[in-house]
Order: sequence, then C-alpha cells, then structure tokens
Amino acid sequence: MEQIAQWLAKFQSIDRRIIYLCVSIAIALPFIVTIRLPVIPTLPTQKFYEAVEKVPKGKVVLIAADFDTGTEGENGPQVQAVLEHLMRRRIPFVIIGLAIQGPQLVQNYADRLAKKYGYRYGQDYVNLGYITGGQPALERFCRSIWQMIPKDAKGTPLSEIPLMRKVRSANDIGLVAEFTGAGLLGYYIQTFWGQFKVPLAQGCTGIIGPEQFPYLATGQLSGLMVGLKGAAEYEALLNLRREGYRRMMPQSMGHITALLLIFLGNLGMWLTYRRRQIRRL
Amino acid sequence: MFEPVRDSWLNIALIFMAIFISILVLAAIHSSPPQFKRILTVVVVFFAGLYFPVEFYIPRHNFLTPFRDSVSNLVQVLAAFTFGLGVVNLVLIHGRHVLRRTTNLPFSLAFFAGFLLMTVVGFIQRYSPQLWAKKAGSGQVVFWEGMHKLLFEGMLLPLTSTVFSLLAFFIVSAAYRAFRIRTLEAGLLMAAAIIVMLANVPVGTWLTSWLPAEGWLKWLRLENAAIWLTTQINAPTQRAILFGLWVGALGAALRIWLSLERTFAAGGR
Repeated sequence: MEQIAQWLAKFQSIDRRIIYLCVSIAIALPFIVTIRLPVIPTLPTQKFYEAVEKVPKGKVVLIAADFDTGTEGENGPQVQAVLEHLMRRRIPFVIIGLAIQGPQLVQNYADRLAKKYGYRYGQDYVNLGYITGGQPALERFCRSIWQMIPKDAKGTPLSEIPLMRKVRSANDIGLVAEFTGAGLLGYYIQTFWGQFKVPLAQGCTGIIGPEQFPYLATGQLSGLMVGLKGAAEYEALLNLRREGYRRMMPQSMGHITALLLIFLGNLGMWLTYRRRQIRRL
Repeated sequence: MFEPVRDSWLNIALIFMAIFISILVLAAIHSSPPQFKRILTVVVVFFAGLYFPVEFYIPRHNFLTPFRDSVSNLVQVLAAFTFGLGVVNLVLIHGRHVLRRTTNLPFSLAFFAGFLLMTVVGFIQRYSPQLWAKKAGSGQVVFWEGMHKLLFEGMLLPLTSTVFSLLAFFIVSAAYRAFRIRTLEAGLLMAAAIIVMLANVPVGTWLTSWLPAEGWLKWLRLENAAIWLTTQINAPTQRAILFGLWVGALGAALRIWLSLERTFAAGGR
C-alpha cells in the first residue's frame, strides 16, 4: 500500500513532455476512433439563432469578420453555421472586417456554400473587405456605407453591385453578426446599437466568452455563441454535423485530459502531505 | 468635404506630393528644439481630443458636423501609417540580422522571403491578375489567383493555426501545475472550473443527460449549472470589473488629453 502511495505521489510533478504527449494522444484519438456524443444547444446560442430568424425581409445581415487565421479554429465553424442559416432563409449579407484576414476567410466560406444554395456574388452577398480606423470608421460606415467604402474588396464600385444599391446605411441592416477573438464589441455597441439600434449578435472565442455575458444580460447583445461549443450548438439547431461538431470531440478529450492531470497532480500533492504528517507522528 | 480627383495621373502626382510634404514636415519637427516638440504635441493632442466629445455632445448638425468625415478619414490615414511603421520596424530589425550575419540569419531570411513573396503575389493578384499568365479555362483559376490561394489558405492559415494551437499544450501544462487545492478558495475555483470545462464539451452534457430536463433537478445538469455560473456569478463580476476598468480608462484618457501623463507628454522624462 505504501509503495502504491509512493508511486502515486510522483504524479504531483509529471514531466511537461509527458503532459504534451498525453494531450497529443487525447486530441488525436477522436480522429482515429469515431465517438458520437449529444450536443444540447444552450440559451445564448438559441438567442443567436432566433436573432437570425427575426431579420426582417428586405434587410441584409452584416457579417463582421473581426478574426484572423489564429482563431479560425473557433470562429470559422461559427461563421459557416451562420452563413448556412442565412442562405437557407435567403437573407443577403455583407462582409466587412476590422481584422485584415477576416473578410477573405469569410468570403472563402461563402463561396463554398454559395454553390450549394445558388447564392451569387454581388446579388446575394458582397465582401467590402478590411476597414481600418476602428470606432470612428464604423461610425461613418453606419451613416454612409457608400462614402466610407466606395468599392468592394475586388475593386468593383458599389454602384455596379446590385445588392449594394439597396444598402446605403445602418438603417438597411437587420442584424450585425460579429465574429471575433478580441474585445471589439464595444465599437459595435457604440455605433450600430447605440446610434442606430441595429441588433447585434456575437460569435466569440471561448477565452473571451465570460467578458461578453454582461452585454447579453443587458440586451445589447441579441445572441452569443461562445467558442467551438457555440458553433456545434448552432449546427445542432440547424440539424447539421459539420466542423463545429467534428472539432468538439478532440476538444472533449483535451478537456478530460486536463481535468485528469489536475486530479492526479492534486492526488500526488495530497499523498505527499499525508506521508509527511505520518512521518512526523 | 473634398471631391475625389478623377484624373488618375493627377491623383498619383498629388499622392507623391502629399508624401513629400509629409516627409518635409516630419523632418522639420524632428530637427526642432525639444521644447517646441512638446508644445506641439500638447496642442495637437488637446484639439484632436476635443473634437469628438464636443461634436457628439452639442445637439446634432452643429458647426463641427461637416468636418466629421474628414476627421474620420484622418483617423484612417493615421491608422494606415501604423502599418507602414510596423513594416519599417520589421525590415530594420531583420535587415540588421542579415547584414551582421547573426545566429538569427535563417529566420530573418525566412521573414524576407515570406514578406516579399506574399506582397508581390498579393499586389499582382489584386491589380494585374493576367500578368505573364495563361488565360484560365473553364473550372480553372488564373495562376496568380491560385498562387495567392496557395500562400493564404495553404500556408498562412495552417501555420498560424498551428502556432495558436500550441496554446492547448501550454494551458494544460500550466493548469496541471497551478490548480492545486490548498485553500477553500482554490477548492471553489476548482469546482467552478470543473463544471464549466465539462459543460463546454459534449462529454459533460452526456454525463448528466440522464437527469430530467425540467423541474428543479434540471439545475444539476452540467450545461445548466455552467450557464447559471456564467450568467449569475461571472456576469455581475465581469460587469463590476468593466465599470472599474472604464472609469479608469476615462481617467487615463483625461490625463493623456490634458498632457498630464508625464511619460507621454515629456517624452519619458
């Protein structure tokens, strides 16, 4: 018994290389063995879904792609799920981004999905590209999109894009869906929500999720999708099993490994403490 | 406020003239006495900081409103300048490594190769996609567009995702070392972390899925317990932190605006 306790006590100082190996194996395992577990949508994600459902006819949705390739793992599946929902409802959308790579990434997703739903660039969706200048630039965008961005990301004048003929200011936008891994929500609350009362919904990375909940409680956010779990939940609401769901299994295993290692570390610490106490007696 | 110039050559000439004048002004400021530089900074910061609140608080369409777009343009131009500064800084640092042939030479060469390749391909793809390329047939893409796709989606995306995913390993390692239950507070934190971590993955929801979805027992389901923790415990705390944070930010902004911040107004002295 003493020998087992001695062996278990070693778990309080596991070499970091062993930890890395455990995490690698845990994350890789679901790619080899198929594991299916239920995803139950939570209230914040359901609210996001309902916000898209409530977009009035004749208005467009603004997709604010404020993320880059670093957080694509979480934000990517979120945007794809929302784009799929928009296309199912035949809602046109406009892409912008306060991050350089975001609009390009979202357009790639939109181009892929467009083939399935018969969406056409210029008619049903437009990419206005990267916006520099932060909050003042967004404020100007709200007042006059045409003055702020006279050409789309491809360099086509907005006057030649059929969809943009009916989209002139924030009053023509039915919902702003922001996807980000950074704290840029304040800019949108100060402009779209604060001055034009355009509903906002956000898809954020898991790490900044807790910071966004106060805005959901106040009603400044109509919906919130947190992390990869949020994407998987949105897919569940759409009866889909795409990237969000697929990536959930490696994340599940990663979380379990982390909890297991924390438990072993505490067990090792507790056994060492107990042995010391026994020796003193 | 200003109508854009239609003649493209005149436009280019005006851009170069603006750059030339900017360089002259910057050189003149650079060579001026420190006292003058300080006064100039204080005056510019004061008036720039005054514009937005005054324009916002005076009822709409006041005498400052017509300048709103021009000021917004100025902010955009200044923001664009920071990109230029970033590029100059990177080129200087890596150029030094290349010229001095330090141990970082391979990394600096990799930087220049990646930077130049992405810039050249990006510009050609954007402005002259047919350059030296065969006409694409149906279902094919033009060479430069394909090249851009390869660099962006084939290299940049997986590279940055790989670097970002390394966080998973470091976070698990750090959590293993840091989460030791030595006090009651640490125990409570651990309990909350277990609930939220498990609820954020399907395994957690599966573990308590046998509990009823209605009635008081539903709050024992991990996903509901996590939502309760996040919205009833975390959200008010976050709100309190945010209030404190923004009051502090307002104070800091006022100090900068009035040039009371010594590190900012006195050049660090």
